[in-house]
Order: sequence, then C-alpha cells, then structure tokens
Amino acid sequence: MELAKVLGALLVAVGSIPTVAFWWRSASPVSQTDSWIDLGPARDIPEEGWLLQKFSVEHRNRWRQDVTEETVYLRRVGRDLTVLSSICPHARCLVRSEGEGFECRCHSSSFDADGRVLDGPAPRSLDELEWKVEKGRLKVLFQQFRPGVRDQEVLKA
Amino acid sequence: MKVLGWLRGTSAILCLLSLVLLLTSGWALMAGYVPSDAEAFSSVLFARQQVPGGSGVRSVHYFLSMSLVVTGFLYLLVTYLLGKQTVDKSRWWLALTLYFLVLGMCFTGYLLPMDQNAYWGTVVRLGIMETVPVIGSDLAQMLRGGQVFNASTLPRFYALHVAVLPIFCGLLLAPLLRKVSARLGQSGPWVAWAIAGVGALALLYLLAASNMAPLELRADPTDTEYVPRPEWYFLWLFQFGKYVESVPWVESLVVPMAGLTFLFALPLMTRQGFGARCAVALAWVVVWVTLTGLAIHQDRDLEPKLPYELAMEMRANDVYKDLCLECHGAEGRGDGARSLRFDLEARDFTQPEVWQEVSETEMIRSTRDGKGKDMPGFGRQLNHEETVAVLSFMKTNFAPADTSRSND
Repeated sequence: MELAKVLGALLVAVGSIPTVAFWWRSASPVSQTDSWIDLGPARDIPEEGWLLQKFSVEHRNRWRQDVTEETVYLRRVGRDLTVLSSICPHARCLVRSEGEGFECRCHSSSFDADGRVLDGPAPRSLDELEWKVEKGRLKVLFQQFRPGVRDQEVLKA
Repeated sequence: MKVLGWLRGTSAILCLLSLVLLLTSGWALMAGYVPSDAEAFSSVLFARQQVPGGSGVRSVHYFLSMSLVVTGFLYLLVTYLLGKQTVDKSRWWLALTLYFLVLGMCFTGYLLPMDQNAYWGTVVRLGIMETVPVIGSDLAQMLRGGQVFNASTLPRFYALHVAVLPIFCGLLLAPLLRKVSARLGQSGPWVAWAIAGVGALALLYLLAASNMAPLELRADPTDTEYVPRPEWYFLWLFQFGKYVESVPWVESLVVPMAGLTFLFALPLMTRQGFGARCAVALAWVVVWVTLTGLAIHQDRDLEPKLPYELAMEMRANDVYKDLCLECHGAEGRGDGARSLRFDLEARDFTQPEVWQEVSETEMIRSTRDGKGKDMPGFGRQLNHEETVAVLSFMKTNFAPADTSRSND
C-alpha cells in the first residue's frame, strides 16, 4: 500500500516535469520588433526641462504580436539630448518629474535634475538610454533594466 | 475559554463556507471574463455595468475574499491561543497551508480586473519580489512569463487563480470536509453555528448589495501619477519596508520567512504556556495595528482612488468642455459661441426627440466619425470609453427628465 502511494507520487512528479519546465523556462513570447524607437523630429522637442514622451513599442515573435505603451523623459539643450528611463530602478513604478528632478511616489525615492538618486530605496540613478539623430529624427534605443540592483543590467523582453 | 472554543468552531465553519462560495461565485465570474491584456478590463466593466447581477456577483467574490482573510486569521489566532496546534499538529499545518494558498489567490486575483490598481500593484509587487536574493528574479520571471510585464503575464495569473491554487486548495480541503460532514450528526453547537452562518451570509449579501467591489480606470502603463498601495492587510509589511529600504530583502525575504518558520514551528513549541501565547498574540496585534496605522497616517495626503464611473464622469466633463462646448453650448442647446458665429448646425440635446430617435450606436458613430458638414469626428482624440462617457454625461445633464430611448 505504502509502496503504491510512493510510486504514484513519483509518477505524478515525473509526469509534471514538463509543466514545471514550461513555467520556469519559457520567457516572454514576444521580442521588440525595432530596438531603435522613432520619436519624431528632434527639433520639435522644446528646450524647457524634462518632457514626458509616450510611445508604442511593437513586439513580435512569429505568430504573436503585441503593442505596449511606454514612456521616457527627454531633455534638450541645443543639439544635446538626454533620454532617461521613466521606470524607477527600485521596484518599477514610474517616476514623475517634480520641480527640477524626479520623484517616485511608491516608495519615496527622489532624483536630481540629472536623474541621479538623492534619497530613498532606489539602488541606482535613473537609467540613461542611448539615442541618435538620423535625418533629423530622434531615435531611442528602448531598453529596460533589472530593478533593485546597483548595476545596470539590460533585460531582454 | 469557552468563548474561544466557540469562536474557533465558528470561524472554521465560516472559512469553509467562504471557500465554497468563493468557488461558486468564481464560476460565475469566469463565465464573463476574458483573460487577455486587451479584453480583460472591458469584460469586467461589461459584467459590472451591463450584465444583470454581474456587479453583485463580483462584489460577493470580493467581500468573501476579504472575510476569508479575516476569519482565517481569526481561526489561526484562536487555535494558537487555545494551544490546539500542539494537540493536532497536522490540522494546524493544513490550516496554515490553506491560508497561504488563499493569500496566493488574493495575490493572483488582484491582477485580473486589469484596472490601474491591479496593474500597478502587481508590477510593484513583482518588482519587490525581484529583490529576494538568488531566486527572486527567476520567481518573478516565472510568474510574469518574462522579464517585464507582457502579454503572457495575465494568462499566467489567471491560470494560477482559477486552476492551480484552487485545485490544490480543494485537494487539501477534501479530507477536512469529510471530517466535518461526518461530525454533522454528532453533538456540538450546531444550531449556533447555523445561525452564525446564516447571519454571515446575510451580512455578506447586504454588504455586496450596498457596496460595489472597487474598480478603477483601465490600466495605463504610461501614467506617472498613479500611486499604488498594497491591500490593507499587507500595509504593515509595506510600512516596515520603509525602515529597511537600504536592505530591501529584509522586507521581501527575511520577515516573511521568519514569520512562516515561526508559524510552521509552533506545534513543536510545546512548552509555551497560555500567558506566553497571549503575550505573543498581543505583541503581534500591537505591531500590526501600529504599522498599519502609520502607513495610513503617512498616506493621508494621497489623492483618493476614484471608482471607474466617477473618474469617467469627471473626464467626460473635461472632454465636453474641451471638445463639444464651443458648438453645443454649456447647456447642450446647440447654441455654442462657434456655432452661433458661423451658423453651424449643432444638435440641441435638450430636445427629447434626440434621445428617443437616435440610438446610442448612432451617436457613438457620429462622435467618432463626424456627421454632416459641421460635426467633426473625434475618433482620434477620444477612445471608446471616453465617447460613451461623454454621451452619458450629456444625457444626464441635458436630456429632459423622462426621456427613454425607444431603440436602445
């Protein structure tokens, strides 16, 4: 009787390996179609502090297509641009621009006018994103980074 | 002691009742729910507003889950005070496991409505989970189906909520239910329990009838203004996290693990006297109340979270002012400054015929695509929800009192 129970449990456990493996290993089914996101003419960005820019990112993996809505903060000084991720490096809330700098209202992290962390649980400064201007249009390398760690680590979608 | 004994039995009965009713109300909710990013919120909204009884069933499910969290806690607390955990060890472990499965269902069910609270609450909780050393990010990735919130996150939470966790729960419950039903014929304060059960049920339906389960605006992943907060029963941990913010894994790992270990080890602590148990319980209640109170106090300036209908009404008000007023006028008479100046044809919404003869579908179409030569289409500025909201805003404010639509 005991042996039967053990055997049964063993069979169920072995039989369930594919389930566990699927849950554990299968990552997101979608990957970003273009890593460089077109944010329109660079000249149109006003030269007045931080601008919250919203845009869509298309993800596609053969059969599945999926569009997510994302945001970044832009600042233009002459021909120089800064692009900051709006995602708080602590727990992924969105930071809002507050006075000169930024503030995350989930756990009260604050950042200065250049996105450097001032106070709160955020382990690093706001993540800076790479950008380039091609034929007058601003393109941003949209990436997300692992939250809660000191070093910037790129996440694959 | 007698009171405690009665309380233990009653809370156990109420827990079982809640579990069973949660299951049946869940079946009803499942019948109208679509677990996909694009459809989830709309399907919940549809059930809430358009399906007779839909809002009621959702409220029953919501308040039952709350009451289960409370009565489950009460059962565990009283059992501990009575020292029963050392007598019937396996029952204690079973009850604890069930309680954590219930909390797991709260966690996964939280995301399903896909409103602001659901989305942001889950994003942040998974973010906190990632601070657990070694396994944290794998665990969060497994729940999320990826390293960031994506289209397979909701189906995973749905699968856990409606199949994986409840079935484990049922498997653990089956022997317990059998024991209870075997005891049904024996002596016990059954009449009192029956009264408690009926009373609780009446209270629940009263609560569900007078309060809708909360639903906020549709999740907006680009909203930088939304501030999520955990459910009230987890505010203590949230508040505690503020004091250890430089070592986040104390909040996300050490405290929960210490709590779990303590609870599961309780049956082995046979030397704890009644006084000591009372002191431990009292200490916990004091800590809980203090931290929860502090969390609520420190959030006193936070804007209140508005229910969907109210938030949409406010948005509709703004939309009307921004887009409609200059032609249709402040009173909806079609006498806005612009239509008077350029002699445009703008509908007078105070005429009952408008509401009797034009169907809502038609109005939605005109708002979206425009109508005639003078009414522009607003499909680019307004989404469907906003269009519906602004139309119902106009109906509430401008339509004559006893207008009912003939071809709705």
